[in-house]
Amino acid sequence: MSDFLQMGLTGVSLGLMYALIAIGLTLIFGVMRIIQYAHGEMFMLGAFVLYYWHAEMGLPYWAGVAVSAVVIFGLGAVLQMVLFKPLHGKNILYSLAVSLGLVLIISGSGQLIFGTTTKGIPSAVSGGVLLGGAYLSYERMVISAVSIALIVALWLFLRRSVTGLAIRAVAEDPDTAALQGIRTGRIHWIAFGLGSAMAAIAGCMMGTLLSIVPTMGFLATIKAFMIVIMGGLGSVVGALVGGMILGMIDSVVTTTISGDIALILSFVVIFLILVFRPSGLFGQNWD
Amino acid sequence: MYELEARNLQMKFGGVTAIAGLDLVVEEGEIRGLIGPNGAGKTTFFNACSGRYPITAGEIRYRGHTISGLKPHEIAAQGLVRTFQHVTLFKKFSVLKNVMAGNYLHAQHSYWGSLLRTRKTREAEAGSERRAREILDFIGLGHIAHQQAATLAHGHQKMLGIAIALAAEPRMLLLDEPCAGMNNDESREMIALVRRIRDTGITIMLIEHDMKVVMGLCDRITVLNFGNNIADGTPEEVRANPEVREAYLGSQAHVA
Amino acid sequence: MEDLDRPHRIAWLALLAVALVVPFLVNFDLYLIHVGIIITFNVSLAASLWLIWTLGVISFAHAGFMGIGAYASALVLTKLGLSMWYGLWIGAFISGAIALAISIPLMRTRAVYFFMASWAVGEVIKRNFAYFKDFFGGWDGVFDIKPPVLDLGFLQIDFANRVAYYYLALFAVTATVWVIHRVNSSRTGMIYWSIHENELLAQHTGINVFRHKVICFTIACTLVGITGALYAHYQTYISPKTFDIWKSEFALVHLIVGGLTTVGGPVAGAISLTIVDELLRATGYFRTIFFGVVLIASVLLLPGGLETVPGRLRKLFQRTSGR
Repeated sequence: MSDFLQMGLTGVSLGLMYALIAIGLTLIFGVMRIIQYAHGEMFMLGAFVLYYWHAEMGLPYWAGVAVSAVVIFGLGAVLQMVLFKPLHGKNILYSLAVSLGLVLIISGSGQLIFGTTTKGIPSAVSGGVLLGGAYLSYERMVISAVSIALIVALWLFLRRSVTGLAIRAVAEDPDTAALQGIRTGRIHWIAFGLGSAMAAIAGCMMGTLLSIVPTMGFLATIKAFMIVIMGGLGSVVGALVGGMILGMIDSVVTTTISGDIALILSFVVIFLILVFRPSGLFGQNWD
Repeated sequence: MYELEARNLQMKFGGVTAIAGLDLVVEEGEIRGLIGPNGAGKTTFFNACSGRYPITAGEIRYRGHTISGLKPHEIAAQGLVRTFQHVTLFKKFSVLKNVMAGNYLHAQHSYWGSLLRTRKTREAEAGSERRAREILDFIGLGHIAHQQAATLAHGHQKMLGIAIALAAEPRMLLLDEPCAGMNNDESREMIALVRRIRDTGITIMLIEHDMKVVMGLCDRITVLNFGNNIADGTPEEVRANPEVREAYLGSQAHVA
Repeated sequence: MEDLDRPHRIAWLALLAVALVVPFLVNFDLYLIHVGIIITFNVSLAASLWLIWTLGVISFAHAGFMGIGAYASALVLTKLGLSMWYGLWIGAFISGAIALAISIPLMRTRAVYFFMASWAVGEVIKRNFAYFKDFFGGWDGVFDIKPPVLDLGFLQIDFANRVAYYYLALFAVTATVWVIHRVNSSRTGMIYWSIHENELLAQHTGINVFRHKVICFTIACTLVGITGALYAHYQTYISPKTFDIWKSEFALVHLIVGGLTTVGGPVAGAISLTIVDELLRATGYFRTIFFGVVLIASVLLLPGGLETVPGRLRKLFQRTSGR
């Protein structure tokens, strides 16, 4: 019983963190219709900003998370304006190729600049609590709380704020949005920056929980992609549900069988979801 | 045996009923108009006939064979071919290649033939090209056969859409607003074309909003409203029908 | 049927002629011949991926199917003792058969979801090679995959010789590109491109879109299965990592940099980028970074890819001579 509880709790906290990465990706896709393959690289860079801020320079942890988010927001916005803007409206393959190039450049430079040794970020809280036989560290609780808070904040932002509504309008129908006077160019870099910042914060959390290396971005990209496909591209709810499914598979199957099987099983699940719902669980039919 | 026959046809999308128990028959060789206010289910009916969306209930028969439940390509192979309301072409192909692609059903395609480029394949392709040129000359686009489809004027694009459909060598054509977006001259050309197509023995059913076009061109007219067949008859009968007037007045259009 | 016009035919024949004399030109330098062999593999991979692209989609499982061909041929040798002359066909057959089975559900997905679903397929293929250790050798892979010997009675050719293997690989890539060209320049190609251009209209003109998609995918995967078998017997060692998502992605990059509208695109892209990659080898860590820069620069600065270069040059020439 307590085993199941432990697995469930781990699954939920993993799932929330995955969802955080995936929501950024789905936001970028929804607004710009591009597959940002270097999303995991933003996640990695976010973690390294926090590492240098907190572990190397000894500055406060939470300020570091905020700094990381702002820096990566800026980076994302600049990348959008310089690299992705000229490709707007062209076949999705071109932006995919550019983001592939970004992966090579960023992870390659990361290995040169940060070195290839594994690093850790000291966590902000320690200790934990026993809950019905399952151990739950305060760290995981804080991280889950941050994830939930961010997802809710984004959800409210998209539904309540003027910019958020504009983002949704552009995602829904770019031409009509432009006709109504929404400056789609501005929305594009804001959405790209926001999505990247979400990944950066997820990177900070994950980096604190586990460890960081410059090549960690690739795995994050894979996870985010898997989630986004399951949930449906462009759907925030889908990303949350997909994150939970993946977190549970990872937690339960890894504990009971093995990590390899967990990965194969997640891919099989994705494949089946796509076969029966060709646009993901909550997705639309993007042509 | 009717050319086209719908019995108690129903189409529902989610909770929305687009067609509610439609009965309709089309005789061989006529030009049939399908009119009605926006949202009456006209294009939905074409989508049902061409197999684009599955029907909810009822039956559609074409020349005595049930076609509801078949895939679009199977229905086209039976000789029932449609065009689309919005310009729908292979935009990057040349005009000629568009029509040749439309000729698929009669081009005797085989994979081995493609690979080995046998004599039979070459002859079939030459025949297909000849046929495509005939169709283009018939339509009146022969002089621009090598232009890219995307660069054509709107009127020519609509014409090309019909040429592609003709290349499938149909016995019945469903034309979804053939004159949409055309100026008067282009419309007149289109009307003449539709007549000439009918004269080759092809039955035609068309959706059209311009009442002048419909009344002048069609042998019989079917009026849809809220997914039901509310009137069926010659242009004069339909014009005199009070129910039709009401349906149109309700949607702020008028019967000319 | 669209046959090649004269300039194109001359260009292809010239390319083939150069490829035939390359070993003599480089004075049988083993490293450069090795690069030549790698180029043939990359060209086959990119060209067969391009065949799938003529439908309007890109499969990220393509390297996975290359892996299926490679593993099948390798295991046929190491477990059954049958040489590559059998393994080649068995590999192609198994790769094609699995492609046929997978594409039936896979082709239900469209556009961007197809990219993603195929990507999942590619990962599953790779992970299966890694997971079933006893059969596939796990992450360590399969060793000692001997190249074949051709015994004609009066003449014996041992393909352990690199020059001999170069000509074998060149023959295979020529055949592959020829098949793809033939398929593409015929009615079959017209069908694929009409699906690419407008699937809805293609369906309504009587084309069984689903059937042709499945067949196209199967042909492409069969071809790349052969490439995989040749790869395995050349390297004599394969592992799941050889056929991971990056390999498919690099093939996609070759396509994009080369150009997407003719089979010349992937050929040009694969040749030039493989050479660039080899030139960058000396730069160590910077290699991937430079490769990324080359990739982004070519997408942004040369839209349409290398295949548009002749046209651009012609235009430039006409403008300068007109002045």
